[in-house]
Amino acid sequence: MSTAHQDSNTPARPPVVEPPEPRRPSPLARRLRRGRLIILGTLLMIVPLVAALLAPWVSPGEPGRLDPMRRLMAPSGAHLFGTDEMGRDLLTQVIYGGRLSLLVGSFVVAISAILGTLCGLAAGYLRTLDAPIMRVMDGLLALPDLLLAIALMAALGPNVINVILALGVVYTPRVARLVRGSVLVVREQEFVQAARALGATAPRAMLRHVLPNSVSPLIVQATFVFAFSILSEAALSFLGVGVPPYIPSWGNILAGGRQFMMEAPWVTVFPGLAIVITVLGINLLGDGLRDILDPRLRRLV
Amino acid sequence: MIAYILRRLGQLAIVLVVVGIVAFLLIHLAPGDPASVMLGSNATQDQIERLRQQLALDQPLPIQFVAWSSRVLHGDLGISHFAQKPVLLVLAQRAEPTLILTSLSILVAVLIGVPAGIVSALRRGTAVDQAVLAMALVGASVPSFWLGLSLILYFAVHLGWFPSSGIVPLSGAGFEALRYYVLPALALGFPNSALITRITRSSMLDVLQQDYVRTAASKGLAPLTVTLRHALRNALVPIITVVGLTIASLMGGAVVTETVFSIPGVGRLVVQSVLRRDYPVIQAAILLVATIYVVVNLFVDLIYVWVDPRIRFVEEGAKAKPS
Amino acid sequence: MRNGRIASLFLAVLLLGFVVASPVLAGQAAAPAIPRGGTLKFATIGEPPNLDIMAVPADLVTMIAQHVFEQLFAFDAKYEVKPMLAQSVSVSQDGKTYTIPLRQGVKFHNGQEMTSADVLASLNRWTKVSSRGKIAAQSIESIAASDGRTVVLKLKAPFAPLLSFLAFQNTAAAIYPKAIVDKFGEKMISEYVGTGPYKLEDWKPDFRIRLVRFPDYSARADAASGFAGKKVAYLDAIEFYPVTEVGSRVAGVESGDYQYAMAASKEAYPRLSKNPSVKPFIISPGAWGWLIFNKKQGLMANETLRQAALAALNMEPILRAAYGLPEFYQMEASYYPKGTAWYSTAGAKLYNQKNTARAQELLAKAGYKNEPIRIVATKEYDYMYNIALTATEQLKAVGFNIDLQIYDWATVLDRRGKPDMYEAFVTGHAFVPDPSLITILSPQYPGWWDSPEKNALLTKLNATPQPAARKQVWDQLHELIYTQVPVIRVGQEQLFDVATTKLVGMWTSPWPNFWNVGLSK
Repeated sequence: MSTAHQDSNTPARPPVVEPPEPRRPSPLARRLRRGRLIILGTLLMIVPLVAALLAPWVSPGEPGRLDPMRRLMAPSGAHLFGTDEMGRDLLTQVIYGGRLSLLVGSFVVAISAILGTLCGLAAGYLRTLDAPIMRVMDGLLALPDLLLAIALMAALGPNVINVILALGVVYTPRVARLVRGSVLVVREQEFVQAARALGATAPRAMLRHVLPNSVSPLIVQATFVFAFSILSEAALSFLGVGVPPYIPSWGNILAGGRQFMMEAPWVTVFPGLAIVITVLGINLLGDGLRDILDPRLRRLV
Repeated sequence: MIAYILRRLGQLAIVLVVVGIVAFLLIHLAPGDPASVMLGSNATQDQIERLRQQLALDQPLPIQFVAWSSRVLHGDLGISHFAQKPVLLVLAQRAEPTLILTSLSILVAVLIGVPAGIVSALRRGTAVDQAVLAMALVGASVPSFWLGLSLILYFAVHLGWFPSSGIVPLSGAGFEALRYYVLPALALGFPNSALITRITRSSMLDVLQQDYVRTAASKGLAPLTVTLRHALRNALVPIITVVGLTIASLMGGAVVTETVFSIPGVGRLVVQSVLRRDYPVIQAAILLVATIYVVVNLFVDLIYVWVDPRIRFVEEGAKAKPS
Repeated sequence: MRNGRIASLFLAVLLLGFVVASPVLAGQAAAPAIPRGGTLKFATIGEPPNLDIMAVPADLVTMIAQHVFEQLFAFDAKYEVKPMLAQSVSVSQDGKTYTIPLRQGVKFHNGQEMTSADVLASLNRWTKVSSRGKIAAQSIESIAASDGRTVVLKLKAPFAPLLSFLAFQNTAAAIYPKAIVDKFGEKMISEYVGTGPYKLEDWKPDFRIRLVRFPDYSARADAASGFAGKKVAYLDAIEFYPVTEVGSRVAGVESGDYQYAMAASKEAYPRLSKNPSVKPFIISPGAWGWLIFNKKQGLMANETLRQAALAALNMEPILRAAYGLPEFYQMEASYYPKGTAWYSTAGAKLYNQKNTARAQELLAKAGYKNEPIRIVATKEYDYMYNIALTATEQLKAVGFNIDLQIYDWATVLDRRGKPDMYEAFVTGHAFVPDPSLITILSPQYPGWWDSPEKNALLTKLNATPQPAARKQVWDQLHELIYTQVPVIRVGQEQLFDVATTKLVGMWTSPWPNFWNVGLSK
């Protein structure tokens, strides 16, 4: 699965799906396109990002403040996005929902990165642990992300921390595979070099070579995990097994507004758009980053 | 070839064991005593005690796991405490809609993704290419449940072209029943077509650069023939791979789509079981889905080994290397 | 000449007779004929666990199973008790003996004829498994069959609402065949054989419950009214589909996939009223939601604290959050709507006080030290969740420290039976024709209202046969509900169902029934 000697006719099966980069006629055109993607992605993301970070200062009201007498009001001057079924200002809810998505996404990335790196290092470096660890990762990957997340939430119970833990576990295997791949490549090189230098290679040297090697694909992977976790949290909350209903989350807002889609479409349109724009921005960013960092690195995974 | 298959079967078995461990541990992850968690809120103390003994919950975990696994291998997946019926029966009753939905969604994803990817590759750099890429990107960013809700709103309620929810069983209704699956298959298939589009495009681009393709073109064969006969066949490998992966994604997404469209399939059952804390059903669903996924992927691998024998040799060659 | 005058007088009288009679005749002829045939598809809110109408209190079970099973008595359109499987009833002077001759020739779905043995077995099971049956059982001394065609109930003391209890369709005193009662005992039945106009043909779990016409149904001869009288199965079949998504239910009726949907979203009312193919039904009397306090154990066993909560609440926002549009709720203190026999204004001034000062005064008087108060509710029923959320915010604003806990409905049902697990829970209550059917009056019902004043009044309510005297006792109970605050009822709700305009002959109630109903082409 991680042979370094390949040509383009027999690409290694990508366990985490990243398409091989099509070759372009000129490096200049390539650079221009890369830059465009990143800029576009960043632009798209700036608004939700800033709004989420500055939520208390940017939102017109307090989150969760009920005013049932003013429920399901259409967007107006007083309520730019309208109000939801409990009379809460939808703009405030969407902003705080973004904050939650950001929070969940960041922690999920952190957890899966740390756990995944540890597993990948162990698997790549310690031959005896390689098979068991990777079989566990394969097992986790044999389950669709959402199904595994739902099952874990069933056991753990619905709250924000459990959502983060569950999604962290779900995305760890991808990171693990990636890191393991890097380790194996470096091992090859180190092995050869060590044989030449007639010295033993210290683990520290491994780390010194492995980590820089995997940072680039790791960053790219991290952006996609971020995007997936936003979509997954929304789906989990929408189904009722994610974040508790009184915490504003894009999935919760959609779940609440679902039955009023005909009478009050803004309750489903705005959070839905927020998800699409944010995830789109992240995906563009990820694509752009991947273009910049040497695409051939991806063959390792 | 045989050795390859046997090796893959061995891996498959190990993966399923891991999945089994995950499913088994679920009950122990949940707070509270596993027996009362399994039996649910209305259980009496006797029932709980009886189940504790039956499951040997006082034994160390590995022994319990072995006992549970042997039960599972004999087809005893436990009793759904909500339906008070064997889990296998409960799952079987709901299998049809999920199978149909997943199959149709895969069809949608492939029928959108592959042609789009081909067209995009053939017209690289043009507006068409940009449009297809943009569509793929947006498709990957749209939550499938939001898409489903929007489709219902527009095509079912507003236009009335399709039913807004539910299904009718195939037996009896025949093709008429497929009308109920159109919107759900679109909602589930379209976001999943994005990746297929991109992989098809890049795989085609790779292949189109190859010498033998340029040779065929220079021989004067019409471009379309060149594309379909030579390029596509060789580009197939990564596409098939991605389709296999997409099946996993679809099975997960079916959970949400079935909920949005009120389809009485296995996916919706899983959500209901989570809300009702009906653990035996959740465990069985996990095992079932994982089994289907690894078996399907085994077939996918076998197909592409058959399509491109070089892969087998590379794999076998790799085995012979020192590291 | 005299003959001519007599003849013309006779003719005039005849003509006059015709003129008088013809509107009546024409009226009868013009009564819409209910078309026969067709299948009605009903979108419900979910899947019932089974159809044991005697044991399961879920409204869904009642809605479906009422077509399959019948009881000795039934309510008519005015919610007065009329005989159904009983031929008649005679009550002794002292009110302690009820002699019920049964109708003859009534067939079960399996072809057997109903006898007093079946009635005996069913009533005995009812006293053991039905929550209403258990309450009635406290007054019942014996149930016996004096012969194959008569049943006699002897009471320990007069129990005025007995016939209402026997007629009530929820946890109903339905008549099952003795063989089935013997087979299942007190466990839930899973074979459904009744005497109703429809029988169960098949049940595909989580997909559809299909009832078909029972051709040998023994109908009564008296005119149909409400749930009583003659029942004719015009529809060939009735199918119940669990559609949990309210939007899908309504959309399904609009698109013609279903002909009836219960619990439509109230916000859709303005739009649906304009749709020419859809008929909206606003059903009154409907139901109500309420907050039930744990009076056995915990902080809210303190009456002053409960009074503080009642003083704090502003009902309109709660009602608006729960029921959506003003057409669907009333800020009504009385448990029974105006115009009904049980309407009461006792205690009404304590309803909807929205008096923060008074609430805080009572909090101080109760010595409240900001201890957490657990309110348990579910999100599965939107109105319950919305009531819980809105009430929680209002109580917090006044100074209560509320710990709102949201669980699935099964867990709520479980927790509300455990006095150490909550201080209050939120649930709903359907309209019941007789006040003694109200759940919280029983000291065993979760919340455990067991005050001596209430128990005394309840005993009196059940022992007094005359309606006027009973009403006075009810007024006193009504007042007590507002002074002792065992519960806080948010107001009156109207239910909202939608149907196709092709539905003919429909009578609406909280449990829509489809006998005497047809579908036009």
